[in-house]
Amino acid sequence: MRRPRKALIAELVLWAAVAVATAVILVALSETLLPSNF
Amino acid sequence: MAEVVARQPVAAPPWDALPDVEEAPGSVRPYLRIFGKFLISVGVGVLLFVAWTLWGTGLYTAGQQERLGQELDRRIATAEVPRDRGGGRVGPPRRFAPGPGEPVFRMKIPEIGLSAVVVEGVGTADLRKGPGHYPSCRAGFERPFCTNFEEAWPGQRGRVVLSGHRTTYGAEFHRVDELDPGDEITIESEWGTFVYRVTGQEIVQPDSRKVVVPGDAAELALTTCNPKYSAAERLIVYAELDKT
Repeated sequence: MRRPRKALIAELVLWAAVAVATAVILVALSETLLPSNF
Repeated sequence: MAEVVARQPVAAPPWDALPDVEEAPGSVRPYLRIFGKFLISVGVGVLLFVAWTLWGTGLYTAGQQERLGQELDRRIATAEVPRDRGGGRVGPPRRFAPGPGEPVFRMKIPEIGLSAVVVEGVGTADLRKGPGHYPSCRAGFERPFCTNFEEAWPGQRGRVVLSGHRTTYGAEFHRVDELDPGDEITIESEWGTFVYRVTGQEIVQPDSRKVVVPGDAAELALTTCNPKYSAAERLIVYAELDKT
């Protein structure tokens, strides 16, 4: 059974959000962990 | 005589025509599929982080450098500071005490194609704008990002300590390891233009503060992370004022 287009787009948005959240977490961690002149 | 039969291209079945695969009850396949997509998303997130770190941060610094450069040029053009304040003493006005992140002078190193506005302070927010001048502990500056002795300014006797990024936020000090003894470092300030000559390099532990000392000679010390893309060590490049 094929999934409706809206469901596919919603899933894509979800995984994009996961990618952005990962990047934001890494940036926040790097601000804390790296020296100021890295 | 054999008859040559032209092969007809075989068309791929349309995607819609592919049969759906029925998954057995209790199969781990759906969970593996979700986990795989999750890993791909995290991987894309890591790539976004690397792109932001290497290039995105530089956009912020470029904007700040543009703004600070205009401000510094305006101040240099209107400066009424005597180059020699008597007795051979050269330096900024007595009440010169710029706040954190304010432009203080411009540094040029032709050998590595560097031209950057140096700001006051070596805190995280300061160094995002450009290389920072190590200040004395006065209003607006807190340890360990300041010294308990009076800061030295270009042209003066004492060690002028500058810190800069090597990987992120414009990475102005990315190539300072390529400097050789004799290479020229020019400082343009409101109180004059000074030429320093590189005398050597040193690599120290990242928590070492041996570079932050008053110094006896009119010298310059550039500090940054080492090696490139790592903070395992700290690289110091020394230079002395060229009096010729």
